[in-house]
Amino acid sequence: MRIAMALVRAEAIKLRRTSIPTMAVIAAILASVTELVNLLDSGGGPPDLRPPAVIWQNLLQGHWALWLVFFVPMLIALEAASLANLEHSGNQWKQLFTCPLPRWTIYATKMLFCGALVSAGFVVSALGFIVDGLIFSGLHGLHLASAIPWFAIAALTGKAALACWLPVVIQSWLSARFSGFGIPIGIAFAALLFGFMMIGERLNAIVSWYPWMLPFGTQGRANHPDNTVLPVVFGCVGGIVAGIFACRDLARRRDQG
Amino acid sequence: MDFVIETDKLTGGYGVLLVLREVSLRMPRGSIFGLLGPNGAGKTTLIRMILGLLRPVSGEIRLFGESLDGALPGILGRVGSLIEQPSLYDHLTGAENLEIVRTLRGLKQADIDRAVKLLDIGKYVQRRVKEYSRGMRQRVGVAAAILGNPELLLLDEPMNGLDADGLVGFRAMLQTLNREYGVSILISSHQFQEVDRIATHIGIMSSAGDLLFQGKREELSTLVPQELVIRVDRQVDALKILAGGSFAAEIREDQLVIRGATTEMARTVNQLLVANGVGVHHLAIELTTLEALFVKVTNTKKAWDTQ
Repeated sequence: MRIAMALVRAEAIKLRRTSIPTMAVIAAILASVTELVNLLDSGGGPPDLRPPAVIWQNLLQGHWALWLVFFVPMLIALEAASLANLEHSGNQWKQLFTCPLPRWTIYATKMLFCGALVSAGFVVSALGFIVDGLIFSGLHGLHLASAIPWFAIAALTGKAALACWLPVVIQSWLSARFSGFGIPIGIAFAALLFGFMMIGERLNAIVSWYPWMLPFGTQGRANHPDNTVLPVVFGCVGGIVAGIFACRDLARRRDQG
Repeated sequence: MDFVIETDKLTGGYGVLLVLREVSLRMPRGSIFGLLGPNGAGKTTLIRMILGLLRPVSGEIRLFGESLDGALPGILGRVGSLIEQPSLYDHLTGAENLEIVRTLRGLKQADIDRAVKLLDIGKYVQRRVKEYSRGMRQRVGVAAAILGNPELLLLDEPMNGLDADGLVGFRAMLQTLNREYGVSILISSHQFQEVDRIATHIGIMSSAGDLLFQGKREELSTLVPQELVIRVDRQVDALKILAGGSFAAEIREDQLVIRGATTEMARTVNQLLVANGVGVHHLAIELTTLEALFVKVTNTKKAWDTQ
């Protein structure tokens, strides 16, 4: 427990005066602003007479799709690479490895911090969604404030954040393995592009198992809209299994100098 | 004898490149052990192996009598280290860097205060590391290494970047740690003069990665005869007179040097020169420098290799 607390505290000190924590917030705000612009752009038609709950559901799907498909995979990649580069930049790894700590705990802490920062992004994104909805409501006189779907937002946020663990581990692994931003960000971008193309090709099943699309999969696939649990399970269990392998691999590589 | 570091036929390197060859090092507890060698001799590699950062191909390492394999990572709590350049986070202050090490090693705030005082870094420890000069970075790196008063301190080229004042203070700090706190210190360096001033024991590595000599500083001196250094007013005449007296002197810059000096020889030489009308300005038996000893030891090894 002392080791865990020490690692978390040390990692928190390292984040001082860096843009790493604010990156998550900025990404979520950017997604919300983009979605708001989108909403305002498409709001010129006849008044929406559907019940507020249905309108919220509609807004939620639009907002979440943008956030989960585009922003989250790149945010994960950026956060993981930035956290790892704190150690790569001055070859701090060697200093960390001379501390009386099991090496795997150092890597596991990086993964946990990456996951925590992405989760913080989810919270800001959820708040941004509500703000978007209320602005949209105010501009169109829809009176949505009384019907904010708190539970649906919390459930979707929680599920999507949990499904992120596998991509978080993969990106943290790549980032610890390769110094700099080029390789981990390049791989994330290629993976994102591939996932997006697959959705475009109507291979919707991909969102249940493709790591970078797992958070999006928690929204429900087009042909299986209720099966939103599988991506969460796959993201969590896959994240744990991949995390164990990643920590073992990284600790072993450092052994070889 | 009680050794803090023992290696048995330690061999290894990076991939297929073998840097160390059967190095069997014994570092006594309480010593300041100067590890000397040319660049590429494997000094850093040896330190990395001792810290468990690099796995040897063969051989064994024991720290404080315990096999390193079974004692990692806990045993690292008794070892402080500075390997190559200090590993500091540039965007943080020196104090924050020390706080990270303190936290990870489970130490107290008082340990930071003590290190700051010993290294005299209080003036700039609250400034960001990216504003530091090389010497400042080096001092903060050493402060991080000595946090918690480790029993063993491994310093790889720690004097790099220190100015003359810094070197004096640094030597004093190491001697304080060694004498007052009982810290055993291993210093790898190519700055022979600096090591010579503080080391109680010396290890000499060859460029081939083997350990040519290890032992007390005085033992090393016995390998090379001491020199009688003479400065006179008529150098050429003095050389002839000495040759007539069966003293093989050589001219080195503005002085005459006779190797294999003894007190008796010094007296005889002085009498001989003065009796022949040569003015003697300076006559002294000089201890052979560590650099000369290093050259001697490595040349001896080369001679063995070519035989």
